[in-house]
Amino acid sequence: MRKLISVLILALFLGSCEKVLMREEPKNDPLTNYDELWQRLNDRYAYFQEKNINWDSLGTIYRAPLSLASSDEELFSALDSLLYALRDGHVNLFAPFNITRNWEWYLGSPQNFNREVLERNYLGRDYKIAGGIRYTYLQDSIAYLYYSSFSSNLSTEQLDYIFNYFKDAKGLIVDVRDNGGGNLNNAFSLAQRLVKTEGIVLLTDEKIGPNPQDFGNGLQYSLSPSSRPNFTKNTILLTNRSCYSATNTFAALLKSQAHIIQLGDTTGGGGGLPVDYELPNGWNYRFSSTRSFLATGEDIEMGVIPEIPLNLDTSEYNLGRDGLIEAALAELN
Amino acid sequence: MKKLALLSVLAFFCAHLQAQSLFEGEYLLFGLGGQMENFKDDLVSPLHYRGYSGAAALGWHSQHGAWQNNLDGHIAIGLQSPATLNDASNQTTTISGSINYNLRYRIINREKQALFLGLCSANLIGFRQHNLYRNSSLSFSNFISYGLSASWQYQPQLKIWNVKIPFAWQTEFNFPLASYLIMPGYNRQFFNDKAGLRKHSFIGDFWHLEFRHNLVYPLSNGNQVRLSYHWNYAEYNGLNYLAQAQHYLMFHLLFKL
Repeated sequence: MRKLISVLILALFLGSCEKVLMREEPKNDPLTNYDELWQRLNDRYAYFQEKNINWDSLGTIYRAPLSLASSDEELFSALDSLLYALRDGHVNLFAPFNITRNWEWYLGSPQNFNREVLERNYLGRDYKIAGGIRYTYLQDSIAYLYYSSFSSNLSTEQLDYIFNYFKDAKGLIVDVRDNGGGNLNNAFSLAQRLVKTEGIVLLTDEKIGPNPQDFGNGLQYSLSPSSRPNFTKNTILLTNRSCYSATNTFAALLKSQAHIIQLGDTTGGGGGLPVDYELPNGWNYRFSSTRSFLATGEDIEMGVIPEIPLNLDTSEYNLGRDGLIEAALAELN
Repeated sequence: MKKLALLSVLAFFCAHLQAQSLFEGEYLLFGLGGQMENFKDDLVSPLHYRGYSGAAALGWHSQHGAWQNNLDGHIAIGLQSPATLNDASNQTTTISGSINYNLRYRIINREKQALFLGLCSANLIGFRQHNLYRNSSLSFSNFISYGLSASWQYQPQLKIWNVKIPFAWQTEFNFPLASYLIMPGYNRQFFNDKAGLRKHSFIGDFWHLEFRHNLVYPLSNGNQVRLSYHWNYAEYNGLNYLAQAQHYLMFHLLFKL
């Protein structure tokens, strides 16, 4: 019996030794939290080189005011300043009392969009809605669709219906202004209904190790014309700076198509796929871990440049006119 | 070589001299219980997460003479929170499980005790979903491991006030030497629709240990009830550090076939 008890004690001791085996928990103080975030991005953020960011230097500058006694607000402020320098809409730190952000990609540019003018003077009262897409015919058999968020899913049947409805149109305006992104699958589904020629449309890679040159897992994305109802006549894609993330990628997918012209402002960018993590104090954050390129090799992190750059004359709003739609109509006619 | 052959023959002979033990025969196992999950997954957090899960088990145990074949599976579902943050809303939901097969041969056979040595196939699966994340909310760890296995059985003649109390004890130990790992990649879980990390590792790159202790009480109809405590620990020290430990306590019913 004594032997049994000895073995039991030994077994229970071995069973609880995982604390010794596992890595230690990081400290939860302002300096450790700051260093943890700095290190994580240093190892895994995808765009230091493209944006010519000296991360070492920034890390030192914004760490300087912090101490072990710094408050949560002071830590948040230091991290906010550090992350702001990345100029990346996919970088945010979520604290219980605030969210860091750099939204200069659209706040520093004209909005070039007025939903009220669109709804009251172009869509009217009889437009159709399917899967987050509002669509109708404008003047002279020009089809028009407005997609406000790629988070609104599109089914195959909905796309079939939309493009059947547009089969007699002589041109199409695809308006994705103020579309902040969403699900990339929706971007690919819609783009496939618009392409006329098959080819590589997007290249991506990702950070695969902690060194600055550690990029790999390259992928090539191709699109071919859909065998289902589609639209391959002249098309105008309307964009503004609030076209971000999946919408930015959507513009990139159509870039190689000669019959599709992008009109408006450069898209907002956001070519990297954000991944999430958290600090020892429980705040979570996200940052870009991948890079995306046009088939020609140009990085799309800072946006996709239109063939016809055009800003709205805001005084036209009072006349109920959307200058970008008017320009698109003129182009298609 | 002659010595080895002689020892093998002796061991085999001794094994057949063993009196019928409580473990002899074939059993179908059903189990219910709870599990304490403790992990540190560098794709999810720098923090340890800990929490409790409900667990169920299914198995087939066979022991005929000197040979022991055990097939065990279990699945557990539960929530975990950072071990050091009391009121954080951060949480993971984990589905974990294991499928183990052991083939062992009895090498020591005494009046009350027997020691078996053999091989194990010890497979751990785990899927974790973080409630505050979006693109990288899912992490997973799969250890498809194989190596050495041992079990020790103890069947005392316990008498209390001249009443014979039948029970037995079994301790099992799995010590995998190699493992095929399926885990997320460095930043992203999948590449080209496949897990980011798929590699064969040898001990040192990874650690995987398992203990199981069973307290066995026979029922009059040949069936058994067992109280089972199982601890397993798996660690991979690669680009994304992962360590996970599971303690589960289960009540097993074994039906004699």
